[in-house]
Amino acid sequence: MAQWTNEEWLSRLAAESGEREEAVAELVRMLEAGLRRALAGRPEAVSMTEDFAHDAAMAVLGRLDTFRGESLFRTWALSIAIRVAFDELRKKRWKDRSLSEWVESGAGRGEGEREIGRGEAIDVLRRAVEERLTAKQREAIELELKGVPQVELAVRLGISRNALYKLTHDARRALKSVLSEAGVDGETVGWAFGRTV
Amino acid sequence: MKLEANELRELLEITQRTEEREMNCEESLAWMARLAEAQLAGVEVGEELRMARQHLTVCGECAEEYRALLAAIES
Repeated sequence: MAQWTNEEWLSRLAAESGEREEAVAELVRMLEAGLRRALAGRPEAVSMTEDFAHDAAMAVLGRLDTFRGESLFRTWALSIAIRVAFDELRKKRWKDRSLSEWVESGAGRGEGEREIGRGEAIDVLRRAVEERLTAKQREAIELELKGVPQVELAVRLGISRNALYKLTHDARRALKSVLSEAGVDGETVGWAFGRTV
Repeated sequence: MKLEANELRELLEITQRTEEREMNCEESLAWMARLAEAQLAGVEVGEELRMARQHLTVCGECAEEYRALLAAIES
């Protein structure tokens, strides 16, 4: 595997045809090796890693002008490759399942506690979700908590991923304000669940 | 749609971690590589990296990707 400096990566990827083609092929090899490590423990991803690496290389090339050189080029490119691969895996898990099947199966979440004590904080929060959020904020927050992938949720709501983030951020800020008014803070939450947040 | 108790607990925790100004997923991704290298090197981080790290405490998908990046570059 090539051990190029950041400058070498950038100059080779911007070079004329022959050298550039070799650099792109090296980029794909580097991303594939990195993705195999990143996706270790996900057997469902093994057969797709090569395709992910090709797709990711295209994504990296499309963002070259945003690389600021504050990390190794390899690390930066891998961060983009991982986003590409994980988004594809999330879409694949989501595909062919209805929303109700997904939510009822709990497919989007790991094994969590099914029951917890219903403290005051939880009651305040439950009411705030029902009464203080807009319908769209509530839908986004609820489906996100049930593990619906953001990439799919954005499509469902007809907004961009960044707009989805703003929607849920505004919702969380509103909920935090309600909790604060009710005297619920991080210490209360830590006490309620036996640990400090 | 009814939120389960464990989902309300998660919402309570991420609500408490919410800040007025936050990076979104795209902005956080731009800093993820630098943050991972800083973490592995044990280097203190500045304000922008602190915001990128805060994003990881409220966004499960980005946190999952960050863990995968650490795994990929650690070896």
